[in-house]
Amino acid sequence: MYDLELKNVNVYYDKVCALKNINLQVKKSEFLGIIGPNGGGKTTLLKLILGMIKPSSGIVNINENITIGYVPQTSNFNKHFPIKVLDVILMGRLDKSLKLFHKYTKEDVEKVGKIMERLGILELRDRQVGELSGGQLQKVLIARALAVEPKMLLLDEPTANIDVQSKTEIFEILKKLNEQVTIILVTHDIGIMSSYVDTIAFLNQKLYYHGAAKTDGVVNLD
Amino acid sequence: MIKAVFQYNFLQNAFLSAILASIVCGIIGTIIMERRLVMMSGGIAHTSFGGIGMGYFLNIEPIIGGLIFAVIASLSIVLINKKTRTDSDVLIGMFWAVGMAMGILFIALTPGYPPDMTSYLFGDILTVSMAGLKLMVILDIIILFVVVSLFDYWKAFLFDEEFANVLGIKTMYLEYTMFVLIALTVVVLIKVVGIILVIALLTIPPATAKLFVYDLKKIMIISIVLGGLFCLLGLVVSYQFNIASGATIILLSAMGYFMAMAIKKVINNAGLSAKGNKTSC
Ligand SMILES: Nc1ncnc2c1ncn2[C@@H]1O[C@H](COP(=O)(O)OP(=O)(O)OP(=O)(O)O)[C@@H](O)[C@H]1O
Ligand SMILES: [Mg+2]
Repeated sequence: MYDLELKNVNVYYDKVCALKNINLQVKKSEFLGIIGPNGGGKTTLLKLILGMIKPSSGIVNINENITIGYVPQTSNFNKHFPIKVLDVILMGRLDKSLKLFHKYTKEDVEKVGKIMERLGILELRDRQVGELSGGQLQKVLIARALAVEPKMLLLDEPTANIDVQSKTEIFEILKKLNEQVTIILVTHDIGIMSSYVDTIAFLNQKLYYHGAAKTDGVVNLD
Repeated sequence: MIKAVFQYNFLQNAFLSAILASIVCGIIGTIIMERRLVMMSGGIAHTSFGGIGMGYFLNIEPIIGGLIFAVIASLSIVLINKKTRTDSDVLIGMFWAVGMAMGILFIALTPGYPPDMTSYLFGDILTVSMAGLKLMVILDIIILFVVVSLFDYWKAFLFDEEFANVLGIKTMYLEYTMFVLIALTVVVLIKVVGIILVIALLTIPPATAKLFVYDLKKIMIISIVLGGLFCLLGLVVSYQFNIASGATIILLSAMGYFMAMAIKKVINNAGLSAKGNKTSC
């Protein structure tokens, strides 16, 4: 059973071809690591899966009703927006159908509290987002994606600004999560990643390799 | 003056409209500030001048014409911007000027003695009619209800539209609603401070509030209080000295902002010296 299936997918931005003839299948509970050079189309692939961009041609099949969590690469939100960390993460608990006079429940707050504890950011609760360091912000965004309680989690370079110890912590958390959640992770941290993921994909406009995470084969391609 | 308020209907209307104006200013002004839509709001306000002129020409309530133009302008700017990738800056400039031009044309075509437009351009809170007041109440209720009842969604949308979208929230509807609300707000404010001065009243109270608090809801509430203070004070001063209400309110607001900056500086300095030797660690 596949959670995600791409068939002959092409994506163009005007005339720039970002993804060319991509065929990719991701199994349920697979932990897929995507690597590739800058501009290789990794972010584009994630956005395609999220439905934020449409394929120019080809088919994107996603297991219906699957909840997707997303940690964006560069957060294009306004860092000076007056919002505290707890409220940012609670955002993940919002339902897609608008309810009048919506209030976050006690359960929502508890769940979010547990996630923050796991990521070691509980003491940042009442801080403003504008006051966070790059790595702290990254963890807050991961927490927000987890708050969705996703069945599929997409992460775009979530460990880019993060110290070595936190990197390991995050990969440990993902590994644990992976028992129930399909994970697709874009990263340049090939070393640490390869001991956690099931499969690796190498993306540079075309999909050059998708298979078991045997480091030797991949390093040659890189 | 207090006695006069009870005696004269027009003063009661003025007081009520000052309060109604500050409520929407605080709420929508904060949204405008956070979304950087100040020039957009200026554009919508000026386009509504065309509608006011049309109102005179067709012999309907001018402010209703203004309302129609404001709503159409705000939605058109967003739509054209999405469809054609013309910079919204350019579109705003076009609507701004075309709206004014249409207003002048309509007035010129209106038969009879030309109406005095200064109260629309610069505001005259003392001339708010009963009908005008009723319209303001209705618009205030709509704006207040839409923002308060969906507050969590607004917060998510304003902070990170992309993520809200990923959650499956139809942010497109929120966006269009936001622009309609801005248009309604502009119309509420036209009689109070005038088309030309609207953007000042939309920006100064939230900017002042943001000097002291960092929470969306608190900024809105404090902006309402500050806006109310500026408007009522402006009303008193303009009544006593018989000067235009719009200009008085704006100048008082600006003074308030600079005073707040000075106060903040004093507080910060006091905080630093109180902590004193602790700052080294
Ligand atoms: N919005 C856009 N408009 C036009 N071209 C784009 C856009 N976004 C990406 N591209 C192009 O598509 C290609 C793939 O970009 P993408 O962002 O997917 O790369 P990436 O693999 O995520 O790179 P990085 O490692 O730098 O994050 C690049 O050539 C880029 O220039
Ligand atoms: Mg990228």
